Amino acid sequence: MRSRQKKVVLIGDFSVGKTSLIRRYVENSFSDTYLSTIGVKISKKSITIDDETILLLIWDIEGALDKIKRVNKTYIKGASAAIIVTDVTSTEIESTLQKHLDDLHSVNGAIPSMIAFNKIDKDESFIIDIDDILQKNSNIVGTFKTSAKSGKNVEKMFELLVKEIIEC
Amino acid sequence: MSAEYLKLKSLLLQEEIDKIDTLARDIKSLEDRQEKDVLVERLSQIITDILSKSLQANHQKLYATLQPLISKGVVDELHKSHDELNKILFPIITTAIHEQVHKQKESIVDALYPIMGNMISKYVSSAFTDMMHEINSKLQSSLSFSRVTRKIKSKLYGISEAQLLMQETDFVDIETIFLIHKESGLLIVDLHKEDSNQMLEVEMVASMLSAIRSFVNDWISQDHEMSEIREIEYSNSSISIESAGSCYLAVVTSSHADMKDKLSKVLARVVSKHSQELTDFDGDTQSIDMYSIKNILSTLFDKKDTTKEKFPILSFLVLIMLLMLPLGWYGYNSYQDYQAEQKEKKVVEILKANKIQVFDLDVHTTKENKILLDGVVMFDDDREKIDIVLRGYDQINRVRSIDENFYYNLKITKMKKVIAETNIKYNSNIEYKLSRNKIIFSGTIFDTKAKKDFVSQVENIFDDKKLLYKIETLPLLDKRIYFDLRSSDVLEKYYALLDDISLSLKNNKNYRVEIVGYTDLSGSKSYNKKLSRKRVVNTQNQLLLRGVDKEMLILKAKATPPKDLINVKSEEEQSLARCVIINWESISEK
Repeated sequence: MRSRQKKVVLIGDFSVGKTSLIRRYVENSFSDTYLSTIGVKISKKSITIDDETILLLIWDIEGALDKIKRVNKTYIKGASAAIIVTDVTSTEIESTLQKHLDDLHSVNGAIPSMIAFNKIDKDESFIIDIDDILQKNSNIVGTFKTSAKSGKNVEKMFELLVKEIIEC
Repeated sequence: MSAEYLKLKSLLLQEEIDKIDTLARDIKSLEDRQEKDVLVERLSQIITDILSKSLQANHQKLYATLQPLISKGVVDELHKSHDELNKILFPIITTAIHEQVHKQKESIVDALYPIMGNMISKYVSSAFTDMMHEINSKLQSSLSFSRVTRKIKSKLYGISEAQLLMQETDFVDIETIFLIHKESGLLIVDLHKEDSNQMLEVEMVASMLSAIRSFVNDWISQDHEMSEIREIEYSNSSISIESAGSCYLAVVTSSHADMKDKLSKVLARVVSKHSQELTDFDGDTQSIDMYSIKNILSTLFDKKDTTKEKFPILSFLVLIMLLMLPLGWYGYNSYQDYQAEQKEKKVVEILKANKIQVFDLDVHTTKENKILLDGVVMFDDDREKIDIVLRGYDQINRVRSIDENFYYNLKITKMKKVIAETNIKYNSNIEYKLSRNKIIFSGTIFDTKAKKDFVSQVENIFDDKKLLYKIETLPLLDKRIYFDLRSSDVLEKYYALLDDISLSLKNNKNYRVEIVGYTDLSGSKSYNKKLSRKRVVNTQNQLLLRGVDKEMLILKAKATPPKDLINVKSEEEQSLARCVIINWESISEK
């Protein structure tokens, strides 16, 4: 059976729930302490689709506390896909989304990207219009309202991302 | 009176007087002791006060005064009651040290550091020296090509062999090798030491290492200068990192050592050979030549730097091979001989085991590695049986039955008879030699006609043997020496010819030579007869002078010209008749 490794990065502001989302999904990961030491945590998930195993190496990149400061771009390098995580309770979703998309683009070009509107359990009626962003960024392959707490859409989102990676 | 009184007193009361005196002395002593105690008590108070005051007022001076006394006292006491003192002091000292360490750890460490440091340093240095001595002694007791090279190097550079050995020896024990894609952190190849525990989650480790590497490189990097983390140390292990092109090597070792050169060489080989594949790596290991990359990387596990050693090892092997070649050839031949010998023994054993009795048995191996058997058996059946029992062997059966042998011997007898008759008939000296599969004839015979006659007779006898003829024929002689009219003197011009003739005669002493004298037709028959004899005798004398055996020479004198000149009339032809002819004794005339 063919086997491939793929790097996926999760980026987003501090405390949007990236680490919790990953914890919901992966089978093995390094300690969370790495996040606070070097600003990244590596997790692993293997998925078999059509006689092919994709080993996802998920880089959970620490969000900057300081909103001006951006993530360490070298961590993003070489990623095959990305998930940009936002917090539905945040008031600055659009601007932060665009900031992270720009970061991604500047380092990796137009890699398949997914947007996770996380913590949907806190605001079930969350609605947002990001048409402008979607129009500007054709590499966005899907948006999901997710909840690390309930696990809603988490697996679905990753599965779709893997399919995109394979098709790429 | 007084004297008398004293005398009386002495006589009557001496005993009592003595007792009273003793009693008085005892009382006095008691009084003195009481006074002393009182005095001690009083004085001790005063001394304590003095000491206390003096201690306050002049501590140094008092210490200086008392120190020798105290020291001596302590030493004396230590000698006298060492064990008791130990019992008393040990718990006090232990508790004091414990408390001191607890309270003032840092200052104690500072105080002990130089002493402990020196002690450890001295110990390590001593251990290292011992190790070097041991290595040196081992070196001296071993002999190898590398040792000779090392010895020369040692003399040249003035470094001990042990030090060179330490430099040569790779003490680094590599546990794991990772080849990682620089940009993505994806694992390209991982190799693990055979006996090491397989590291789990290697892909995650590779990613994490990449993250750490990126973090450190970014953190240290200033003014966009390229910088690279080289080593991560932890406890007794370390991770050495070497980067080139689009990938980097991370090597986990169980010791700290500078592996930069080794890693960079190996990585350079990988990158130069697989540059494009590595650059394009997207996590699919099938897109790269894993086997080749692993092969190159696995050289890192070798204890020695193969890139350095390849040439000397190769040349050493070539040298050894060259030296071993004659030995090998000799060994190969000896082995072949041994094998042949074993096979021959086995054949003899088989014949014995099958109760086949072969007289004059001869077993040997031919150049074609076939077993050749020769000898005589009783019956033809035995001969056939040999073929059956030795069917597993590539053999040539030349064993004859007694019947066959009878005929064989008969043939030999016939041959002997032919040789004897030929030797008589042609005055030849033919001999024969029976070889294993051929008969060799040698000797000299008169001429080719005689030889042909002999050969045809022999070949009529043998039809299954190879016959080899080394028979020579006599050289042509038929020489003539001419004389002047009415002269029997041998002219000087024939001396050279006589030399040649005598040489031929000496080389074929088995044959006789005729010297026949001739005359022309002039003169009387009796005169010619005498003249002819004189010519023959003079010729004979010339040959005898040249060492020819007289027994070989047959003298004949004729008063006529030779047969080929009998009818000639001219003067010139007549002169040719005045001669002697020297030739081998004619077989027909014999």
